[in-house]
Amino acid sequence: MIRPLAQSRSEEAVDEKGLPLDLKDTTNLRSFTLRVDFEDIGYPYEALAETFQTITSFSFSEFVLEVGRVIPAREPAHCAWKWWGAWTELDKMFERLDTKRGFRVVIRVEKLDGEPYFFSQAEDRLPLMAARKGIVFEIGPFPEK
Amino acid sequence: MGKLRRFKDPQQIPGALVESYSIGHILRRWRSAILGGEEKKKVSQFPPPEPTDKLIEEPQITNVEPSLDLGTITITETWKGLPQEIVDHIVFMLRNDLESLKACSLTCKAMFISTRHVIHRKICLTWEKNWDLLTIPEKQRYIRGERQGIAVRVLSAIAAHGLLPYARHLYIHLNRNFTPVNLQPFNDHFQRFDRIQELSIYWLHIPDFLSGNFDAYFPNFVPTLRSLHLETPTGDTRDILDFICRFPNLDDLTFKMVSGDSRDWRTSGPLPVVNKMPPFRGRLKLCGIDERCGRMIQQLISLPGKCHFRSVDFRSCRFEVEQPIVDACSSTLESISTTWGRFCE
Repeated sequence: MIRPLAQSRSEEAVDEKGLPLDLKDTTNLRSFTLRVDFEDIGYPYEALAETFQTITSFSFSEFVLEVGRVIPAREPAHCAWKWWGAWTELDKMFERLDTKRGFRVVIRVEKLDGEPYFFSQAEDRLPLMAARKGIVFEIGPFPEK
Repeated sequence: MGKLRRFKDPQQIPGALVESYSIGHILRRWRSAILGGEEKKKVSQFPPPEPTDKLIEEPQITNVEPSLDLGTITITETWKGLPQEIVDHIVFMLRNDLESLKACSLTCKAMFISTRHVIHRKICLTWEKNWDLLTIPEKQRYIRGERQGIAVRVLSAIAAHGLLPYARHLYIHLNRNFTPVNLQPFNDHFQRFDRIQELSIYWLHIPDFLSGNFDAYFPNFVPTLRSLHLETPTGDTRDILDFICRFPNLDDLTFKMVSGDSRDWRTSGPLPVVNKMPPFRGRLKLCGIDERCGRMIQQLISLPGKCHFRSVDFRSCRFEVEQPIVDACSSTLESISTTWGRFCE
């Protein structure tokens, strides 16, 4: 299992995490949004996977990842694993959802310097969804902030 | 004539010869382009358009600077010529662009009237604005802590401009000056906020505004308020719940706390008796909620009547807070947002 380099910086943040959630009773759930700093982006995948496994809603069709804070401007795509960790596991889950009922992953950043690098990293870590054109990239202020 | 056609961009040629058009002429052409041929007949109230040949053969030629001289130009037409629907549509498209709306409002009376209710939809009562309105002796009084009659002076200024009826969203950030004592001299103005749909208050000592004071200061908000945002409210949890439940049409609720703020909260006595639970059909947003505040929210959504929140937004909340609230609203939740780690806004 690949652990992100940012793990050490996130240790003290663990006690404030809001995941995993048990969502088996939310039968009308349509969208789930996770806000995470870029330096922590590789960290929550286990909890996310655990959360998504509890979802029973048939209308669940959207996962929004809002990435905050500074994003390195010149991070080559092949270094993505350092930051994204094991998101490929989640990618398989997203693909299964997309096959069943249509699903999209929205990756939203407020402001970043090297967005092509970041977006190529995202596509590199979510190759199945990228192939299905199921990833939507958005740049701009987070809604209802 | 040939020269005129060659000089397509007179600004590139200093001192070039150009034709002068009135603003009215430009607007007539613009309106014809927007409304199409059918509307041309209705334009007959204006002077008949000059033949094209005349325009070319006998141009009124002047030597002008590249910039438009608004001091000498004759305005023969205004936005009044445009159908109100088009003006309203333009205003609607610009509704989130305050700077553009302000610029439009300065163009003519019609646009001024159309944009006014959008520009002043949100009114902010902030201590900074209030401070700017005070005279030097009043500022000295303010610093000494003698704030009665001057702590909410901004309300008078807003009322003097006739803006109170336009407000739909009221944002109050007067620090600890938003008290019945300070508000009382300006309560006549405050009562004129009778169409507020969204109320945001930073620091509210809720017990001060309960019992008789609620009916003195907040009755005008009761029929229309749909969205309540409380940032660092203080008081008894019972009072806070009581205050919230006095607005029977609330759909959205926001609690924003700084970590540890609720340590002074007390919980005394049983929960308030609520005649009518607000519908809570919208969004519950919780920022920085710790366990104590989380318990109060749980008490709120477990009051008699069903909680119908469709969206829950957790921002930097304790883990223990989130799951019980999700469970309480599970049958209606369509959207959940949460944060990981110390996500900074």
